[in-house]
Amino acid sequence: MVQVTVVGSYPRIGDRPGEQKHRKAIDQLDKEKISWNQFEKIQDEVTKEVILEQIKLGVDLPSDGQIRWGDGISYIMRGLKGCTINGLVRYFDTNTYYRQPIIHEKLSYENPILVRDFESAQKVAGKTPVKVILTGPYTLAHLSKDEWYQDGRKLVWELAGYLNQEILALAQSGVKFIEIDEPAILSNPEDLSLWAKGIEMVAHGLSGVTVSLHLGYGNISGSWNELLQLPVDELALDLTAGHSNVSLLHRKKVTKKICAGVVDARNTLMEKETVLAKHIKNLQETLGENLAALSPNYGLEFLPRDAARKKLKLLTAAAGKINKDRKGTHHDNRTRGTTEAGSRKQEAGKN
Amino acid sequence: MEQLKQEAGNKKQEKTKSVSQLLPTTSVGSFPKPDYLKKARADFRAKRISARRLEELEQKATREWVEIQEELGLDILVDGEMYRGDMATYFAEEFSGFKISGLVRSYGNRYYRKPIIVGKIRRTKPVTLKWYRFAQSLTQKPVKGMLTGPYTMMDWSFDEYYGSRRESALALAEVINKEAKDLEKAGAQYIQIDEPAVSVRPEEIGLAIEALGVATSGLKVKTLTHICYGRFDLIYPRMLKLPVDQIDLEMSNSGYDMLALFQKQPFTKEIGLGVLDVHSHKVETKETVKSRIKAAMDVIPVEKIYVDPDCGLKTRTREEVVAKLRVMVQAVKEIREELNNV
Repeated sequence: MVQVTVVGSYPRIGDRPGEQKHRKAIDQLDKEKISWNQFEKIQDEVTKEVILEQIKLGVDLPSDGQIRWGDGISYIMRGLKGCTINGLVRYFDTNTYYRQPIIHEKLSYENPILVRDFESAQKVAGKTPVKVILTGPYTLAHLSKDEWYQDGRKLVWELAGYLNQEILALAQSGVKFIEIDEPAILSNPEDLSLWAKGIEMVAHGLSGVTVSLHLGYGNISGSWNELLQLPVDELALDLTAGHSNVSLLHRKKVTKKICAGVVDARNTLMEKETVLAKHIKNLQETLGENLAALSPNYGLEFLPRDAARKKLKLLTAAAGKINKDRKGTHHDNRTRGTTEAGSRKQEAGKN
Repeated sequence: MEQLKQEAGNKKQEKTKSVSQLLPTTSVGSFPKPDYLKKARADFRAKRISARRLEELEQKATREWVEIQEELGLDILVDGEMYRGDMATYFAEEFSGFKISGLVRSYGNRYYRKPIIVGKIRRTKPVTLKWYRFAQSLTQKPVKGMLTGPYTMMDWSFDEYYGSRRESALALAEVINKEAKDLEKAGAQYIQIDEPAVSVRPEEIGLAIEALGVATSGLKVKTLTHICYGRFDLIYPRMLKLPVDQIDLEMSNSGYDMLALFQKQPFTKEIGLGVLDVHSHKVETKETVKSRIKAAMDVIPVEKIYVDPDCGLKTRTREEVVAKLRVMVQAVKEIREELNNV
């Protein structure tokens, strides 16, 4: 079974009636018209809505939409002691911004950061497993301002150690799927070995959890060999038609599961169904059973909510078609549940 | 300060520019909209008031900001952009070939409607001309013509039509050039074409230069571009090839790090020197602003420096804007006096 998943965020507001709740709540919180507890309740409600919306659209493995995350960097760093969250910095080549953490003393990890979010999300999703998103140590280090360690390697390793504690805490709370986001690495290939060690440290001692690694803002040509060596189960890549990653995958031997980001979350232009189907078919011919999932290439928050919904519909329709075809040709595999996707389903059932 | 004295000396000899004309003060573009205008914009969207009524209030707010700038003693004025929402979306709404998306998040709780290119981009009528004329009619001081640049318009739009970043940027450059020429014809002495997105993809600086070249082609008046946020170290000194007379830079927000770059490679154009952090509620002290200007004077000839805030001020309150600009004007006044006395 090819699954449909998202890679990270989901639009937290939309243009339909009732979809502005989150924005209004922050505004009211700022004006002190609602308490923090009331605000948290609204965040829970919105999280519930976006999880149920993803499931309704046919997403097999939804995220919590990262509704609570101001951005991919400060949300995690806020959970550590030793840094303050500062001014806005542009997030890669997008027209969005993150708040830059400033590390002013030795960092420390005191309590799990995402466990509570996961538990409430999973409760809402019921039997559908929820994927937890965790920003990787390299990206956190790279996008923070370090006034303490003054040594990039030391900072990455220290962060990796804390994220390892976090990932083990998540596993203990029942998380089965984790996506590590490392948007900063492809544009900094000189740091590949440092980065790889960071990922190894994060995943150390983890079992019973499928780890997907999401990469973006660059292409994988310079890092392919390292990627295959990493202790992760799946690579989530930008594989929209025409992206240089696509031709690379067609040329290389692929020995890892791939989550193929085949619809463009950074443009409202809807992929044509027939073109998308052909593109995915080509990928499948190359990847075979290693084509584990289909997704957008980036978090869906770059799109207006209506466009995000349409893109997900395109994905679920395409996945439905592939799975129908696979059913015909790989009947035995599927029924024995020996594929990665098959065992995912089983794990989901256990949840 | 040695250089400062020397510069002042040179100035006295040349007699081309009196000290009172040095370090012209200006603003980057936007000012905060008064509450009555915010309400009117919401009322207009909800069809509770007419376009005409909205425009009356936009004019009222423009008049107020022109008066404030006059009172503060700024040298080159802006219209304050009371009639604009987002700087890219405003033009997209006026050009043909665009539609406007649903809400997308920029950061925190800030959302905007992003332009979507859905057809060939055309300008069917002048867009900002009316507002330029209106603002200029209120003052003897020059008012800048203010446009959003082609690279930024392209980068900040979804593209469902061209399928090529270069093609869409150049199509935008053509229509922006028409608008700029109309502004020049109407008497604008300064035309500012903002390119805040330029520093984001260093590999595309060539495209930004090419597109801005088309946008400024044939203009005789002073042209400038505003750039903010990003890795200037990666596009400097190549960004000096942007075909404008002046580059306006956000400097305070980055702790004046850029001056180190300019020490290595001279900044050869005029500079719009951002001396006020627009993201901070805190009003800078006069000493801070003076020290920023003097630091720049150590690496850039004084006659090439214009003084302004880092960026548009629309996210600050009116009181913060007035207080910040007052400090800026006062700081410049004192430096001019110091130059006069050397």
